[in-house]
Amino acid sequence: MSATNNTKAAAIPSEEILSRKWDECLSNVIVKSGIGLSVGIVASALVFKKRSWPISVSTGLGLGYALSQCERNFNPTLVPVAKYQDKK
Amino acid sequence: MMNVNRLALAGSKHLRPSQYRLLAQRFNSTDAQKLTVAEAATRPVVKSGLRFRTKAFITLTLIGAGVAGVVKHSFDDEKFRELLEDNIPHYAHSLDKLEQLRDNEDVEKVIAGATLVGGKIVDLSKTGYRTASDLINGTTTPAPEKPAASASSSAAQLVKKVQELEQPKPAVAAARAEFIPSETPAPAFLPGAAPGKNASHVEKPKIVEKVAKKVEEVKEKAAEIKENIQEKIAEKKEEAAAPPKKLIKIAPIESEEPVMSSLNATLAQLVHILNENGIPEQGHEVFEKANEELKHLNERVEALKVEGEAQAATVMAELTEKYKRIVDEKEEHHEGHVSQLKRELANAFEQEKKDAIERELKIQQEILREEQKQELIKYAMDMQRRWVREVKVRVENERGGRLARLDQINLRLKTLERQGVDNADFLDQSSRTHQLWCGVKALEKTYEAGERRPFDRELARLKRLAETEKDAEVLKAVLAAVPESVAANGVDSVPELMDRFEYVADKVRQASLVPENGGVLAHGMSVVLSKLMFKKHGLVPGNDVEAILARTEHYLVENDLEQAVRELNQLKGWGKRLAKDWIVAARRRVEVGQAIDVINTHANLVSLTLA
Repeated sequence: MSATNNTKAAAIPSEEILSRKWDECLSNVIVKSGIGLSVGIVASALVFKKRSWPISVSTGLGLGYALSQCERNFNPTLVPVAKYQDKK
Repeated sequence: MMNVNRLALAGSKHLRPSQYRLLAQRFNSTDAQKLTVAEAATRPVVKSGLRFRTKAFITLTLIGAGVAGVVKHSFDDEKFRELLEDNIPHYAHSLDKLEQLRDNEDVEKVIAGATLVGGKIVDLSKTGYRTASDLINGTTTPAPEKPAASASSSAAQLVKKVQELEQPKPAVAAARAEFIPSETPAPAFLPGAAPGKNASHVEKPKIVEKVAKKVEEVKEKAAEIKENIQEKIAEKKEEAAAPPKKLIKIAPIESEEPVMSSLNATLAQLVHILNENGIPEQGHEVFEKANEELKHLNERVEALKVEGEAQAATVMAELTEKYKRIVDEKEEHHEGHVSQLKRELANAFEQEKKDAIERELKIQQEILREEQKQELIKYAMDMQRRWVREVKVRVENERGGRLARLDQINLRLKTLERQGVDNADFLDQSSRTHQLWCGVKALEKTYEAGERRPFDRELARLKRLAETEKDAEVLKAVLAAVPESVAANGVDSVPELMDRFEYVADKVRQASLVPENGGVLAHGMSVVLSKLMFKKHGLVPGNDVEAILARTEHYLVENDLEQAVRELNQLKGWGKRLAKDWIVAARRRVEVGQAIDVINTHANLVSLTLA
């Protein structure tokens, strides 16, 4: 696992790391919201008597998950429930 | 299209009557009354949604809640507060005022009073609810809690408790047994509890009377028992005050032994204690017996002592006689021994003296012989030298002319040899210098090519040349400093670097507005806002990203790669991370260029020293 990580890091020229991050972010958004959408559609059709809110809820969940992944990708130092305290 | 589908779905959905009515109104004209055009015109148009008043109210409430929340949070979180203070005018002033207000004691009192009132209201509401539920559920009495009645019942119960604690148990148990059947459970708890269960309220006056009666009875009984107890105590005291006993007397025994005296002391103490407390007659006799026996023991001990001393004296006398006899014998023996030893020592001493004298004589003889030998050798060597000198003088005189000439010829031959060798050396060196020059030029050509080209072959050739040269330490060091990977991959050319720099500068600009530890939103904002920033060109002063990029570009155009690298290295944060690879590539090129310069200089030096 570490070997593939190293080669992956070596292949990117440094000026493109942000572009890579954006690419990953975009693909995350598309994939996760798509999955959310499909799960929502299936759930709405099978379980929730064809109402419309499960679809939007599920898509939103997917989008939110993608957003949090993006956030972590751009800011790896982020720890959940951490508050930034100024050093006094 | 959508509407039709909705109605079709309505069949499978569960609809409330109102919902169905609405749907039917919209799509199905037969099931509901249609309005005529005139009626529709005259009917007042009811706007859908809430009234303006309600909307305004809701909005204001939400805004108020929002502001309260913001204020509260800014009290808790310092960083948030600073952010708001920096950006909202007069915010700091307002917050200070609020803090003063909060810390103000008058306000605290007001708040405390308010909470108290609130508590009372809550209590009242609770009792109201209880009575209401009683009413609903069918209990008989509706009355709310009356403080007076509860106070009297609680007073009666307190009195009862006090009685219980004062009396001895059996009397109270009897009283209680009479109590229990007639009372309801409530008064048996702590006073004041469960006033809500008011079903027993009717019986309470009767019970209070009964309780009073019982209390009086119990009081009488308590008085009786007290008297009894006091009588008993008086009796016991009389018994204790009996006539005093006869005291025991013992005679103190004196003795030298510490054991005896301690025994005596102990016995005296025991007697003293017993006399104080008073014991029956038997003990008295026993103690007198013990005292007599102690006396006997003391006498026996004295007698034994005397006997022992007498025995010890006789034994001592015998032993001293024996030892005297033995000591005399030993002395005589010893004297004879000592005189014999003296004689022997004297003889040995004489012998030793003689031996020493002989040895000394021998040593002296040897030394004299050695000296003689040395002198002879010296004389022989002297003779030989004189002989050799004479021979030499004679030979040289003979040689005279012929030999001198031979020497000259030898000298000239040697000179010629040297010259030949020097020539060869010179030619060798010049050829090597030429080769070095060629190698350097080849390397330079690869370096200056318009694209990246590997130069490992040229470098290897130069290394081989450097091996054979003397005084080429610097060259070898410089050649070794160029890493293999760089040589194998080559270095970028300046146009390539410039192209790459444009791309890198673009990316750096995009990332220039990201704050520390920014997330995806911060990066997005930076990308968008950076497009609104002006680009700078030329040698502009300043430490911001745009200035640094402009200066780097300037130096690149002037072909001053070193300065460009130094400038770009000043970036911080994301910019630096993005520009790292470019900086590395440019640095490599600069380093290889410097190495080539050094080799050039070396080649120059070598060719100069040749000539």
